[in-house]
Formats: sequence, C-alpha cells, structure tokens
Amino acid sequence: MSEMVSLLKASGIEKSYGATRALAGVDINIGRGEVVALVGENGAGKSTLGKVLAGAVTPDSGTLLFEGEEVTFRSTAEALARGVAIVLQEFNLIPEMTVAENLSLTSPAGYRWGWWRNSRHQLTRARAAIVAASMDFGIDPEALVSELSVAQQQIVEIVRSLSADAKLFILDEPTAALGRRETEALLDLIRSLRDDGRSVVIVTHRLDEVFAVADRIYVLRDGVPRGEFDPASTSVDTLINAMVGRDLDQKMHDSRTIREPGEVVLSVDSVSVDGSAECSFEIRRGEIVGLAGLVGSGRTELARAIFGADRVSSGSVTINGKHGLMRSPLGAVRAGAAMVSEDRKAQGLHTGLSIHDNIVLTHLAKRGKFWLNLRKLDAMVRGQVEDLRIKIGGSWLDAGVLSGGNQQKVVLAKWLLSKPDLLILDEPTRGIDVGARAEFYRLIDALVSDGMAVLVISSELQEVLALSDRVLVMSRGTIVAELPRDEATEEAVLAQTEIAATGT
Amino acid sequence: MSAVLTEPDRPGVNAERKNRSGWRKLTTTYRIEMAMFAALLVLSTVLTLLEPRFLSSGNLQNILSQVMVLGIIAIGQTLVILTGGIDLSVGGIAAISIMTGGLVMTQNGVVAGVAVMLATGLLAGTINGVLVAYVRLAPFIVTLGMMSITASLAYVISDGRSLFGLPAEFGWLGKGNIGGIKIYVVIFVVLYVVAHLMLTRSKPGRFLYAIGSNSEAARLSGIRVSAYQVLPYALTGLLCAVAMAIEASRLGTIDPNTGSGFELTTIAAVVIGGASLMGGKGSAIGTLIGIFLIGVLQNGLNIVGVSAFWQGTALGTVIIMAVVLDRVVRGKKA
Repeated sequence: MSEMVSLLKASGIEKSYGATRALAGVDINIGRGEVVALVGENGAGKSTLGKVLAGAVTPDSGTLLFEGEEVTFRSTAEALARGVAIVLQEFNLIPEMTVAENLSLTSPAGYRWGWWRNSRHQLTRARAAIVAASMDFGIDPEALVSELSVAQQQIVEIVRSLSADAKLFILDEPTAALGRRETEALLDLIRSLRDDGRSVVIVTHRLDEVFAVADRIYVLRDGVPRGEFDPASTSVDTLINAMVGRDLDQKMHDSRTIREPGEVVLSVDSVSVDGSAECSFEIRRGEIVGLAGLVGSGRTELARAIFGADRVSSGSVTINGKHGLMRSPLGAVRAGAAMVSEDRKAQGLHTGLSIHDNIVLTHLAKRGKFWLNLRKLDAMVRGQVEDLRIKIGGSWLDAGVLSGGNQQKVVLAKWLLSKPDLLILDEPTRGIDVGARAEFYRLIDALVSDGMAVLVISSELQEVLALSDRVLVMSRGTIVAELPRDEATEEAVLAQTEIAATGT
Repeated sequence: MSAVLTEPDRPGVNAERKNRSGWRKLTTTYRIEMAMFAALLVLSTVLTLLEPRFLSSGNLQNILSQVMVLGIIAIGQTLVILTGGIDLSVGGIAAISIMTGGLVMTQNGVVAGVAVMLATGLLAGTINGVLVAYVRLAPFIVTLGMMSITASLAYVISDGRSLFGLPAEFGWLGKGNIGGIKIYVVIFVVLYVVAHLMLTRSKPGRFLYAIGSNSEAARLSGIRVSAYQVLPYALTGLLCAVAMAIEASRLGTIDPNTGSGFELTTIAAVVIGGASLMGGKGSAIGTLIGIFLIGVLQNGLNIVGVSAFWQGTALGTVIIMAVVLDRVVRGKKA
C-alpha cells in the first residue's frame, strides 16, 4: 500500500472546541482511486476529520498536502475549486424547486454568462448526465424536493456533489437515512467513482458497508488515530475492539447502583412506528432501560409514539395502568410520563421565556389551577434549581442564555416538577460537557433509586451501557435483541446490530 | 477566591441584595415598557411646555375618549400577538357587531341589542380562532379574509347608512358616571387590570406565552395548544363588540365604516409596548402605554397646530424606534 500515489495527505491535525478535544495529532493519507472508510464511535472525531479535509472546519494546527502541494482550505468552496467535494449530513436543498433545478443550481452547466438557466427550458448535456444519475436511484428529476423522502433527498445531495467533477469526495454518514436498496445503489456509485480514478472518503459507523466498499479502514477513538486496517484481513471483532477501547467504559459501568425492579410502569404492546415492524417491551419501577441502535433505527420514533407525540397506526401503550394508545402528550403526562426530547431548542426549551416560566409549565398543565400561587411556584422552582444545581443568575432571566448543560437541567426540572413515574430521555447529554454529564448520570441514578422508571436513548453506546439495567437493541423499526446488564457490552450490541442489518 | 464565595450571612447585606434583585427582575421583565413610559412622560412634558392647554382637563378627557375604543381592542390584539398570531379583522368585527346589535336594539330593546352585539363579535372571533388553531391556516390570511367579510357585511346590513335612533337608556354606557368617573373609564381600567392579572398570574396566561415562544415544546409539555390558540381570537372578537358598544353609546350614532384602520393602530400599540410579532413577548401594561403614546401623539400634534397629515409620519417613526430600541437593549444583554 505504500507505493500508492498520494492525493491528499494530512499531518499533525489538531482541533479543539472549547475544552473538548476533537482531534489530536491525526495523520492520514488518501491515495488516488482509493476508497477510505473513517470509522469510530459517535464523538470519536471522524466527522470533524472529514470536514477538515474538505475545508468545512479549519484545524487549529497541522498541514494538508494536496497533490504534493501545501494547501489551506478556508471554506468548502475553496476546497471544491481544488477538487475536494463534501456531502454533509445536513441538507442544503431548496424544497420548492425540482430535483433537476436544484442540481443545475450548483452546477457550472446550469449557468450561461453568469445567469442561471431554468432547467425546464434548456437541457444541457451536463444536466442530462445529472438527471440520469438521479434516475438510477429511482428519483424523478421533475419532482419537487419537498415531495421526496429523507433518503431520496440524501441521494440528491450526493448526486449534486458528483456534478462538481471533483477528484476526492467526502461523504459524511451518507447512508444514515437510506434503506437497503438505496444503500446498495450508493455503494455501486462509490465503486464506479473509484474505477474512474477518483478517491472517496466515507465517514460511517455501519461496518457492513465498510467491509463492502473500502480499500482501507482508518479508526479514530477520542480524536486519536487507533490504527489502519485492511478489510481483506481484518475481522469485525478486531475493528470493534479498536473502535471501542476498553479502559473507560468499564469504569462507568461499575458506578451504578443496582436495584430490585418493582411493578410495571410502562408496557408497550405491538407498537408499530413505521407501519410494518412492531415493538413490545415493559419497564418496571426502579429500572433503567436503554434503547440502542443506529440513527434511523426508529428509537426516537418509538419514544415519541409512547409519549403520544405522534399518532401511531397500531399497538397499545399502557402507562401506570392507563391503557390505550396515547393520543396526545397531555394524555401521557396525565398518566405519569415525561419526555426530554432529543432536540432541546426545537422541542424542549422556551427561549425568550424566563427560567421560572419554563420550569413550572408541565406542572401547570398537569395539575395547575386557573389562578397561580406565585409564592408556591417560586418555592418549587427554587427547590428544583437547588436539587439539580442549576447555575443561574435569577429565575426571571431568559432561559435561552444559559449554557447547554444548564438548559438541559431546566428542561429536566420542568419534567421532574410534574412528578412523573416514567421518564423518557432522548439524547439527554447531547451537547453537554463531560463534567455536567457525570452530574446528570448521578441525578438519574438517584431518581431511579426513588422508584422512577427510565427509558434512555442515546447515540453514544457508552452512555446507554453505563446507565441501563437492560439494553434493547433496535434496528429498522423493531427490537432485535434484549441484553441484560452483564451481557450488554459494546461488542455485543454492535454485533446484534450487525446481525440485524445483514441477516435479512 | 474562597473568601468571596463563603461570605458570611449579614442580614443587612442580604436584604439589600434581595431588594436589588427585585429591582433587577422588574427592569429585566419590563425593560421596553419602562423605556416607553419614559418616552410618554417626555412627550407629555414637551407638549405641555409648547401648549399648556394640553394638560387641561377637557383635553385629557378628550385623549381618554379617543384612546378608549382602540385601547380595549388592543387588549385582544396583545393576546393574539403573544401566541405568534395577528388579527387584521378587528375593524371589520367591530363594524359588523355594532351594526347587527344596533339594528336589533332599535327594534327589540337594549338588552337584546347588547346580547346580539357581543354574540356577533364572539362568533366572528371564534371562527378566526378555529381556522387558525384547528384548520391550521395562517393567522394573517384568515383574519385578512375575515376583515373583508365582516366589513362588507356591515355595509350589507346597514345598506351603507349610519345608524340612528338608539334607545336613550343605551346612552348610560357612554355618558353615565359612577362617583364622578365615567362608566366607560371604569370598564377600561377593569379590563386592563383583569388582562394584566390573567397574563401574569393565571394558567392560561402562562400558556399563551409558552405557545408563542415555542408551540411544539408547549404541546410536548402537555398543553392543549389548539384550544388555547382559539381563546385570544375569540376574546378579541368579544372585546371589539364591547369597545364599539361604548363608542356607539357615547356618540348616539354609528357609521358602518367606523372600524377601518383599527387593525394597524392596535398592532402598533402592541408593538410599541414591547411585544414581538414572533410571539412569546409582550404585556398588557406595555400595550396600555403604547396606546396612550399613540393617543397623546395624535392629540398633541393637533393641539400644537401641526397638520394632521404629519400624524402618520410621527406614528411610523415611533413604531420603528420602538423596535430598534428593543433590538439595541436586547443586543446589549445577550
């Protein structure tokens, strides 16, 4: 492998966000006509590295050599001008335009003398090629982007980058939203790029894809390189071991108090989140159940269905003996459920309102009278602020100006004040620093000791394992395995996910 | 460092700190309202210096009667804007409710007339609310349509003619006194006190703010968002009818085009009072100050002899300055 011709070579890349170190001393070499897979757990730094290579993130230090020449990419546009294209996880498509119009918008062929030519009127050769590419995935080029599924939009996003005629393509979790068939088509596309002499870096945590398409596997853990592997001579277990490491999780794993579970609080029976696959399970008092699985496996959808946030087609949910599907969050709240949603800004926090107004909200919705007893509410808010150790200047201040960790505690305080028996936590520590995290874990532990039942969802496997008494593994809308605490290791969970992904 | 953190409890210091934090709370919560109140005082002082007649009881009475109708409707507009909506149909609803109610009154008496008046306003407002909350149409469009329909129906019912011959007993509402104070002033004050208490100390009040700030988070918190969204529109319709009843009673006659322009003035008052059209921000006190600022401005320009044509320029400048001020103050805090 040492004789390959280097296309992009990065050395000594460092990148920190505040106190969090995302990348430390990373060297990577990408050859011409080579497919490199960047793998690692969530937060390992693989996405950041991909973005550094494409100019979307500027590293704190380190050098980039492109075709033997030292380069500095200050933006993705600069990188693209040199021949490095990136497809990010977020979409940058215009929903009111057709697929073809979106594609021609960023393609040089879409313009003449600097004016954008509406694709409805002029069909250029380049556009014809783009359109053909999108048809390979069964997408109608004349369809509006807003009518496409998330998977189809992802494909359009990828196809659009192909029209850029780059030498190196960086794909950040390209298959996260894709189904089986589309994934296959995408892998074919990647292979054809390689045969064309172009290079591809694919950032992913789906190992089956890695083995299917990569020429070389590059592992990151905690922002530090943990070795390069040849897929032909590497086993899944070796790779998982390299990704996970063993030192840290073992310690977190032992810090939990184990309790005897009590009566059943939540019972989910044959609930279907996507119309076909079904889920059934129970959670008891004093028990933490973790929901593991890849992004898009249906974890959040299941949580929202239990909470009545989305209507579900079939199945039944029983909370505290209150039977039947929850029709609205209010029903679930009254039955004794609480949910800290994954998107704090959009679904949890009322920015612009005071901390006090945020915290009392569910309490009022559940058992508030018409006129408020302000003194009593103030005392309740003060109690929560002290219990959760929320650092605030005053409870009348805008909740939006707090740090991420304190915002999350405000949302949690809002739910705890409603005195729930079932607490659903969806990505509870997203965007929260390490110190606040440990405190959050202790808090959850204390709540469960007092008899609460908790369902925790996290993209970070370590988090799920550290907290849970039982782990449910989800894949494609259904629960594929249940692992008790002593059998729930990262290897076991990943293995179950792999079996489910490749087994059918 | 640790010495600072473990400062001993000294009662005097703590009491002072508590006072100061109370003051901070007040200035944080009512920042814009206070600034606008200061502006109102400055404006009044300048007008008094220019023309001492400004402070005469006759003129103050004048301002009060001008502000009354729009002030009552602006309470409803405040609630609507708090939830992130807008009500353009206030003028039309005012016209239709007074015209139907007035006609009934001339034939069937005061009680029936007032009942029909209030019912018409409430019905039109509720239709707005249901279309916004349950059919999920944009408030701007719904109320634009309602504005057109109600204004047109007011002409249809009255055949374009002013309404005369309202019963003499009805005049009590607009001309009567309680202990030397005009009855409509009492109603005005009571409505604002109730609105203020509702918004600061009641469950529905808190929910309106929560919905305006983040309606999805409010729904997930267990708030019946749709039901609470109907409320402000329905109340606004009702308040339009109340305001017009007072106006018709005071004047003894009413014209079918009375309501035109109500929407812009009430929205202006709410915005000047510190509300955000994005929702989640605003207060009854702010709107009260806003409506008085507008009233004083119009009356003052008049009384110092500035052409009425300039009123729009002055009002427009105040609206934009209020929003800029809000941005500057908030920018500093953030």
